[in-house]
Amino acid sequence: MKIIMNKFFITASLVSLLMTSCSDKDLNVLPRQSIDASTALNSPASVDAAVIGVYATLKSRFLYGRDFVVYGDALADNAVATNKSGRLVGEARNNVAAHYVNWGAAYSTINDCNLVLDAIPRMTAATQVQRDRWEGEMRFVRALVYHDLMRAYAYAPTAILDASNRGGVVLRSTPVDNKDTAAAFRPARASIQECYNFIINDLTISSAKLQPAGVARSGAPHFATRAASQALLARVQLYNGNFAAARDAATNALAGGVGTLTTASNHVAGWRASTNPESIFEVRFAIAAESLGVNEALQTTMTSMGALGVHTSNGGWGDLAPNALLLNAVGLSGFPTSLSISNTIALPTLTRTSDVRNQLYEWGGQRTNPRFIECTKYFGKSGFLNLDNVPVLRHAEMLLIRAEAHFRLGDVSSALADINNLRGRRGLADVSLVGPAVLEEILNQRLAELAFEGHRFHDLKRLGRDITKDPSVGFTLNFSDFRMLARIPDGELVGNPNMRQNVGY
Amino acid sequence: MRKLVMLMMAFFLSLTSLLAQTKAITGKVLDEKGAPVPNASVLVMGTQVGTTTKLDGSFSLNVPSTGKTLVISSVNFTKQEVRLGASNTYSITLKASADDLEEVIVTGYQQQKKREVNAAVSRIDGKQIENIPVPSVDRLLQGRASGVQVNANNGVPGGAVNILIRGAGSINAGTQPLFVVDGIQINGTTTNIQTQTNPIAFLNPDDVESMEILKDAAATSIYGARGGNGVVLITTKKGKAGKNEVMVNTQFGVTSPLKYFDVLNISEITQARIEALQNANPRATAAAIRANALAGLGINGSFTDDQIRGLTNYDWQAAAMQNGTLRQTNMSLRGGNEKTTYYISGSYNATEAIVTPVNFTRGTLLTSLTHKVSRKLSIESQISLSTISQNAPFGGAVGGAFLGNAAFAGGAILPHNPITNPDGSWYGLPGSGQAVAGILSFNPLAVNALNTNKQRTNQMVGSFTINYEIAKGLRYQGKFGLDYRLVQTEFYGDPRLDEYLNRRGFGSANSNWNTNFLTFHTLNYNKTFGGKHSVSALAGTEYRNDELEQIGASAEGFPTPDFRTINTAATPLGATGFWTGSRVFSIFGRVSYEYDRRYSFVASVRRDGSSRFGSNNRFATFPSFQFGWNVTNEKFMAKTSNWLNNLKIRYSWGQSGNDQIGNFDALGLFGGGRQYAGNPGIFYSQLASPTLRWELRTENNLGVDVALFNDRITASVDVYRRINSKLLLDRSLYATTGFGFFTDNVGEVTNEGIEATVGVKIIDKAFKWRTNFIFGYNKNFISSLYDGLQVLPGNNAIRVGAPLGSFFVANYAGVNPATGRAMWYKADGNLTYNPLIPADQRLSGQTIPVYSGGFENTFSYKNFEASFQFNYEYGRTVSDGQVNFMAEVGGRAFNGLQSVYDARWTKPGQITNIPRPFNGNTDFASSGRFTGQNYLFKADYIRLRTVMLAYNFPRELMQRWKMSMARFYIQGTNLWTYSDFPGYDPEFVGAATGIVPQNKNITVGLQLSF
Repeated sequence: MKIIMNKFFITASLVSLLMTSCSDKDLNVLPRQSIDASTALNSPASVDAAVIGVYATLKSRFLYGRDFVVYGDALADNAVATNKSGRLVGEARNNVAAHYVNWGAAYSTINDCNLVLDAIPRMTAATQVQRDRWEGEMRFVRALVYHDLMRAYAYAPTAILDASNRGGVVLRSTPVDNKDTAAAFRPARASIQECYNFIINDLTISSAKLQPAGVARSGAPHFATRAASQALLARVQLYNGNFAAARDAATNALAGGVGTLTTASNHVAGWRASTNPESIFEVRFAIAAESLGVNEALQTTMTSMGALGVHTSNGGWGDLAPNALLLNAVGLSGFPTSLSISNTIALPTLTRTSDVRNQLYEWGGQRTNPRFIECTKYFGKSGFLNLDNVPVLRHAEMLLIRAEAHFRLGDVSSALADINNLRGRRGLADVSLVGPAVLEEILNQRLAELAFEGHRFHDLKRLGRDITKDPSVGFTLNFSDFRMLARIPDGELVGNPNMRQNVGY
Repeated sequence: MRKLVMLMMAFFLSLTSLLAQTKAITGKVLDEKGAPVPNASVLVMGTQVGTTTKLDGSFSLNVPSTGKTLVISSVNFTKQEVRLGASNTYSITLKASADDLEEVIVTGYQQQKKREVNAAVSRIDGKQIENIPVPSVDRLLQGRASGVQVNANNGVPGGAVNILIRGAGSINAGTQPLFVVDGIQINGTTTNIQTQTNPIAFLNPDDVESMEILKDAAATSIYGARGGNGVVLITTKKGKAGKNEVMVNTQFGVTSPLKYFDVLNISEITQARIEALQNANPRATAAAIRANALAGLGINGSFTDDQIRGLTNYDWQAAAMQNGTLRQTNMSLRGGNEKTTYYISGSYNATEAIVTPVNFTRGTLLTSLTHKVSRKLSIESQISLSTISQNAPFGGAVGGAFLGNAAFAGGAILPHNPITNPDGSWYGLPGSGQAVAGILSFNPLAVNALNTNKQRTNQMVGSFTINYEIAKGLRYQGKFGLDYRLVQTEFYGDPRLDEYLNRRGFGSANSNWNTNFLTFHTLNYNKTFGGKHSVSALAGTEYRNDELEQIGASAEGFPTPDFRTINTAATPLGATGFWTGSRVFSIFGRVSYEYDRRYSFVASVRRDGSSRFGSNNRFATFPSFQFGWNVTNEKFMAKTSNWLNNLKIRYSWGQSGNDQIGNFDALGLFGGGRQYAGNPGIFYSQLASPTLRWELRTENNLGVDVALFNDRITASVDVYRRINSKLLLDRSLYATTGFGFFTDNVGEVTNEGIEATVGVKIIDKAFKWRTNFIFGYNKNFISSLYDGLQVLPGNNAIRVGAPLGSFFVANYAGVNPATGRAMWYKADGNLTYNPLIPADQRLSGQTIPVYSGGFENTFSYKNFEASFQFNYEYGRTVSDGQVNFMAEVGGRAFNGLQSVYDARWTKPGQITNIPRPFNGNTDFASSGRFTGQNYLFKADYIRLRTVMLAYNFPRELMQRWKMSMARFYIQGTNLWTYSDFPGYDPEFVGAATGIVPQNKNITVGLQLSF
């Protein structure tokens, strides 16, 4: 009895304790897998982790995880959607709004870059080398993502349809770090030229910051280097029509010490290696948990085999397949005009020219009839199913950019030299051409070399050309068609009078 | 202690001093049937002298010489006065309380007389819901309480149930009510790792004594910030003084599918594919198209139409959805004496869903003990233990698995694929050389049979309670409770299947535990004075700490399919971990006053402090008022009392809050978990919202209760207007800021409605027929957003004036008879193949029903009882992922619906709503065929929820068998549904992209008591 009464009084005192101790402090429950944002970027270690966090965003499906590797072909004239999972059917038919949707992911990356760039001057505890490295890296990533925004949502300066030009994209160089700034923000699109100037400025600074030895992080091509900045600058200047700058940047990139041109004997092996030897910048997918999975990863998107060369095996979906235009360009024949065959019949023998690039194409697996020829550039190279590094900038592209720049600048012999250099490295004999045929050969080599790396649509668009879709789709997407540009998410327009949607949406 | 001794001495002294002038009497209190009434209070009127009856109903009392009258009262009986005469022994018969207004209901932290409760509260008695075999009691709310809309998310036994009380008030915050079991707030999170585990599935429905649903803000205000979506109070059975009572209840039966789809045969599918390919490739030759179509369907390219017609069609749906069994046994023991009472119950429930291997197996043990330590002090202990084991559907319970789900795949797979080989092995496993034809290129039944997908829940909900009478009428109650839940899951992807062949198997294991501690301490005061004034008061304080932790790991590369635990795998893949927690401090109080049984007034207030909210807004206060007028107790109503038994008018106003957002939504956060090239990265994951606070619900409720003709007809009608303001809204940011949203308190949602419950005793003789009609109408709309916006950026369906859950889509205009292409209306009324977003979109239906309710009938005649209950919903529109999939009919190589096939456009001039088949489903320069309204269906339904027929063995037989009751019954659940809905079930919640459909069941049972 006594014990019980004592307990009662203890309880009663507990109650009063609880009532009086209910203070603000007791209500501070903090998460354990996140930290307070206001003090997050207060040490070199955390800024460095934030830089890594920026690189990680490039693996997003909307950026280099899938879309910027796949859509450039799906939207163009060199691939067909196999309608196995149903993915990419809309893009391959250029259905309205079946287009790039990188707007949100890109601006998230851009703000992450801006947060780091904003924090760098405060990082007095960091060395100058660290500060230069971070700035060089962030300006490179920001430029890459901005250029991809421009490729999706705006015309390239070399081919602007004035009637449909609604400008470039929204430029931001300061970070958003609180809700009030965020809620008050009413952005407007900058002009195309302003955007290109912004990107070129970033790349110029990035190149300078990353130039001294020891600044760039080890681990290239998976991290930004001066070579990567120059390579991207070459691409941007090609789109921008500044061919001299493109030529010079391409030369710098080729001589940048990151990666090397493969030859006819090791080109295919290069595509089987985890890191492609040609890569100047490559997005790294290191562990299985980073895979985008059985529906959206690059391997499943392009192939249905379980193992290379084993056509009875079952792998991914194989949603996007090369068409006759592309197969012919890499020197492959012997397939039916329908591109596909039934699983139940014997595999038709494919005839291959000396072009080694056609060895990256073979009959697919059994998963869902019928069977298509598939591209095997991405085949679990990082050691796990559906896990592949993504080459973003590589030597062959630099050679092709420089060839095109030479041609535009009237230096046809240099252009031919670069083209023949590449041809030789792919098992082809030299060509000797004059006039527009040189440009067509350059474009044909771009088609063959950069297929399934997301370039074809942008090449046709920056040249102002119509896109003759695969015969199975049955129409031509004219350059004047509004579907050349992606649709800006409509939420961006609600309540923001400054924002303009692209024409037609 | 010394004080206590002194007090007791004084007490005995006073007794001896009284003894001198008293007369000893004895007596017995019986009920109308002659059974003893224990624990009845026997009081000498006008004095403090009294006692309580013993177990046999007897009492003895020393009556002072001034005592003239005894007052005998007991719960559930009408108070009776007996004049004392010369006799010294009395036999008193108490009449059962006919006045249902004396009914006591639980209102949160205390019980109140129903007469004094003026807020909107519905009560469901345990009797009403007994013997219905459901894994969790929340499903039993369906159609039994007005204004409470209940939908089974899916047919996973023990899966989540979606409950809306008086509509939804929140756009982004949670809308589910708070469940309180015997005073313990249950963590309402439905754990969903491999499958869903309903948070109150731990409770055996047979242990439920009653459920009270607090509906309006005045009623829920006592639960403050957690009461904003309504509160369901569950009271379990407790011990009873008297002879031991053993109850055994067992039932078994079968579960079976509600429906199968009428699907095509392979010949029709071939025709649809040929049309689809030809339409999409107009320049291709017929021969090429045919070859392509046959290849896609895995049919020999040389087959003629007749040969294709001759192919065997296998019934995959019947193989995927079969009958299951249902078994349930409960046993309870209840009894005690004046000092100690107990209730012990154990149960076992094994339910199979119609899709193998999905099932639910539960064992529960409930122990409830009450002990009176002294006249003033009593303690209670209650422990509920349960263990639940669930085999989960592949891909999880909520959908999204599409073809991986057997119920989804059963209708969609090409029917000429065999299911098994003649030797009984699965058809189409890798390495067999057999290929499953079509898009669905694996055997979905093998996937569900070979993979392991399990979820195990061990839950303990326990409490310890102290009751102490500090002074007469003043009671202290302290409760300490723990809701502890451990959910463990395992998944094993079998290497014999395509998906896991190349990885040599994949396994993952996960542990998820929730520790939810709660304590409250209350003071309760009751006093009646002057005969007409009745006062009660409650004051209390509460603390709740809730933590959730999770850890998991995965691996691949298993030696053989016999090795199924991750420690046997070659390659560890990943580890996950997670922690979250919240804390709430509260103080609360309630005062009730009643005058002359005519006017009653209740006021309550609660002040909550929660860790979830911004540092500037941690505390908030929630007041409420209730006013009631019992008109029938007025003198001027005396004339009508012969037919009007009760007329009460109630009004209440109150506020409560909604805090159902993430635990850390107010904080600015940098998150981890990003990785690149082997390095860990961090990122700005969330913007701070330091002023974030509760969503506020303010509600006015006006109600009338009527009873007519000797309670032959009872009715209760409520009208309400509920406004949720300062919504916890994910305020969209332009993506160019780098963020998607931040959580802010902006916007307002209004719910207005009428609820009615009408009960009629239609026949009340030897044959009894009672009927209950439940009706609810709720109109819901968004009354404002922020910054003057009429539509929420990023979500066009969130618009001012539109209901929550609206569809904002292009209106479908049917098929162009000339071309067979689907058309939509433009904003200007013209037709288009490509409606613009959002310019051509319009509101088109809503997922939350407008009307809902139920209809219940019970019959009894002699030893027979029968009942049936319907419930209905009207005004609900949903999109059904499976129907849309199967309405492609030719768009891809899988099966489709006969109705769509039959109505498809095939030739110019044909008037139909179903466009021509088209490979890939999107016609040239068109929007996809399921754009807009074209994918929405009305989900109105009337469903025969339960039917029951019972036979009670005759009393004489019972006496001979020394039993108090034996009852045999047959019951059926979901036996009949009236609905135009084309999918499996109009009730489901979600996208229907691979869920386990609900089932119907029939069980027989036997209930014994002795």
